[in-house]
Amino acid sequence: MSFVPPWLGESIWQKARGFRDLLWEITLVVPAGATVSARVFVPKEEVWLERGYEFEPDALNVLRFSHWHDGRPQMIDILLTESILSWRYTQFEIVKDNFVVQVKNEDSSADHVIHVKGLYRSIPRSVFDELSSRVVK
Amino acid sequence: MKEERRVDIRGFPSGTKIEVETPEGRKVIKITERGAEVSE
Repeated sequence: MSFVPPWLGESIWQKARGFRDLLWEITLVVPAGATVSARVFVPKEEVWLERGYEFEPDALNVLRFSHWHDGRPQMIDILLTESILSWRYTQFEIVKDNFVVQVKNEDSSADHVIHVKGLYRSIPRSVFDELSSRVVK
Repeated sequence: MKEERRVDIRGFPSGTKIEVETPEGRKVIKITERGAEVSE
């Protein structure tokens, strides 16, 4: 049998080279009127491709969310107005060094909690660098 | 509420480092094969 469906061939190729899809979760308790942030540094031997996020705030219209990839703004001061909010990139967003999750609580009288999930693909940095060199000269 | 309860992190692979800034200060969490190591 010589025919390999393209979707299967792609999956086999990715698995053989150490690609994997993962889900991270961060839960932050943000004190009344305060801002809390988490900067996540990618392991040195990996590059992450972010696919999207899901936000679950415990209250609406009080938390403002900001997010950066390698210093590039992704979302700035977005007011969370839905109990579950999903955000999907068109394809992937490359994160080579770090990303930042920052949450500001505009409620001056109560702490609030936000649960953030991120879906991402981890690939070996050596593979990423090799593929990058073919695409960008 | 103590700072230890302000952050919960799951799903990150070994080798990940996370710096958390809260009004109480900064903490660094390193994910290792043995679990999370927290330092000031």
